[in-house]
Amino acid sequence: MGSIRNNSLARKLFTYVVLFAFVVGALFPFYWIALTSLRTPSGVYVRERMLIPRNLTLENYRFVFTEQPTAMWFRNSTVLSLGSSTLSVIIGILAGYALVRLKFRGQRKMARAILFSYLLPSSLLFIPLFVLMHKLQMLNSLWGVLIAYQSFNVPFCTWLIMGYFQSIPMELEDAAMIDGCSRIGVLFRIILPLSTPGVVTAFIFAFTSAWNEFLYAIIMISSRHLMTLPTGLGSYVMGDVFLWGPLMASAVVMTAPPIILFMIAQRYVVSGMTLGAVKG
Amino acid sequence: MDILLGKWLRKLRLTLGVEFALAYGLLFPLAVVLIGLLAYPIASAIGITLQDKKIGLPGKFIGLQNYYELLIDDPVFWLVVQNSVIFTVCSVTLKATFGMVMALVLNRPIAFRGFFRGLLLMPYAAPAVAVVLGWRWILDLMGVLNYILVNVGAIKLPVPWLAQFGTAMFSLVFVNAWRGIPFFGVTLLAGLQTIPADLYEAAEVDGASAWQLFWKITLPLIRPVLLVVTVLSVIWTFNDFSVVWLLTRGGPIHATEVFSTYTYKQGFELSNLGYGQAVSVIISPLLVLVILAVSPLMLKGERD
Repeated sequence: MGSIRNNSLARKLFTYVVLFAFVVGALFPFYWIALTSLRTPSGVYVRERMLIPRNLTLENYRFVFTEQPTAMWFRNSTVLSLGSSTLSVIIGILAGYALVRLKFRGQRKMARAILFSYLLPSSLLFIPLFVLMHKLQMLNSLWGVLIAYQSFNVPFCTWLIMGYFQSIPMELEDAAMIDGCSRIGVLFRIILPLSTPGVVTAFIFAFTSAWNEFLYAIIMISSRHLMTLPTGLGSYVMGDVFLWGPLMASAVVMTAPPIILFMIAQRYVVSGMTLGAVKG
Repeated sequence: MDILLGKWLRKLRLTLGVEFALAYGLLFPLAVVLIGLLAYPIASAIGITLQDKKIGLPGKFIGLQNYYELLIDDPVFWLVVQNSVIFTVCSVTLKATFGMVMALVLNRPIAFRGFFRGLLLMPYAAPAVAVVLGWRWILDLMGVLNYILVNVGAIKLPVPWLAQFGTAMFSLVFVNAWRGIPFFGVTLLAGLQTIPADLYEAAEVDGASAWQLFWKITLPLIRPVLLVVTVLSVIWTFNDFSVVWLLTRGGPIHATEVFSTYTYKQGFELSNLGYGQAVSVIISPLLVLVILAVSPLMLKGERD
């Protein structure tokens, strides 16, 4: 009896040790980014007791917001991410409903095309999209980027929202229609309110991937004042000298919104990760 | 006239489905995206590879010359193939292994599971550019990793992790895996939670060890989920751009050059859009095969 108890205690201890190692591994870079952002330019390189906070200052934050166009990039990122994800979610809701509930020819094929598009990687698409945007004269404009982002966010949102719509019982809808509700009425009065978690999840993911997107933004935007946070930050890597303090301060500014979103809506996010990628 | 129209409408309904008009209306925006931003660019991609096309200039048709140069005359291309495969295989293996451990740990009866899951999700939730720049600073010659390793006596002199052969690729794999582990961890955890507890209880009564439980129950039951996540991760890792670009830009001297960075360099730094596109078109059959292999697994889940 004693040995079993020891065994389970040892197992418990082992579990927490591994968990602790994972937490340290996952969080140390964040600690380091935040700590560096609070140090003076020379303090960044001080080796003595390097791991411990001391002489902290907000100078880097003042610097990035007054001497670098960080505020403008933040605004560009916010407008672009909100706009493009709202559009993707709306398109996803309309298409998702049609694909899940309406009977028409080509339903299966359409679902397959969506999945295929969702899995299609951007490195295959970025040159032809660049050429297309050049033809449409939409290069170096946030509108062009907003449209380009639909190429990955629309398939994703549609795919995710389809999954949520499928889980709503058909009977509810039939009952409403017998009571004289139209198809569109059913979508807005019954399906949408019931699948709020799905819509919120789709929005969070679409927002985050637009907020984080780097490749399309870097090829399509050349003016400094139109850059988003990822490309703006990336542009500092082109030089030889790195101002680590300001760079890490910008990284903190950029990381905060998606992390806060994820933390608030963790339950939704987890269901989205498992549904968007693996269902069943 | 009205009768004729009604007849025609009925016929359309019969062939296209009862609610075809509404359905096609709702699907119209999606169709615009799929055709305009995916199908058309893909089709035109192949056309671009047959041209000598510079940025901002009309292309000149040169047939298969880009492919010929790429496969026969370009030694970097084969290095790119090799690097991409090494990067992808190593990184996905690390992610799958540590993701599995993460899922198993989170599946144990621990306090504040939701809180810990949230913390461990952070590398995945944070913007790639921000955390990759953080890693660049950590891995810097003057950075904290060298500081720690020198202080504990693991190395004598600081190592230029990102600037020398060998360690550069190793660092990329590590950073990419660090970002991707939570995705495996969380999806596998969801898979683990569907395994009925009485299976384990029965096996434990029969005297099975923890090791046997894992290999005989956990792994076989979680295999479908693991398979889908792994294939998804292979696709995404193979095409990773920001980690490689922001840490090494493919250097030193192409030592970490992968498909996405080589396409980008050829297309936008050297302005050879046709040649750059050929680099990514040439791997697309492989990607399409992978996507076609994984989609039935995902569609099956969708129908249930």
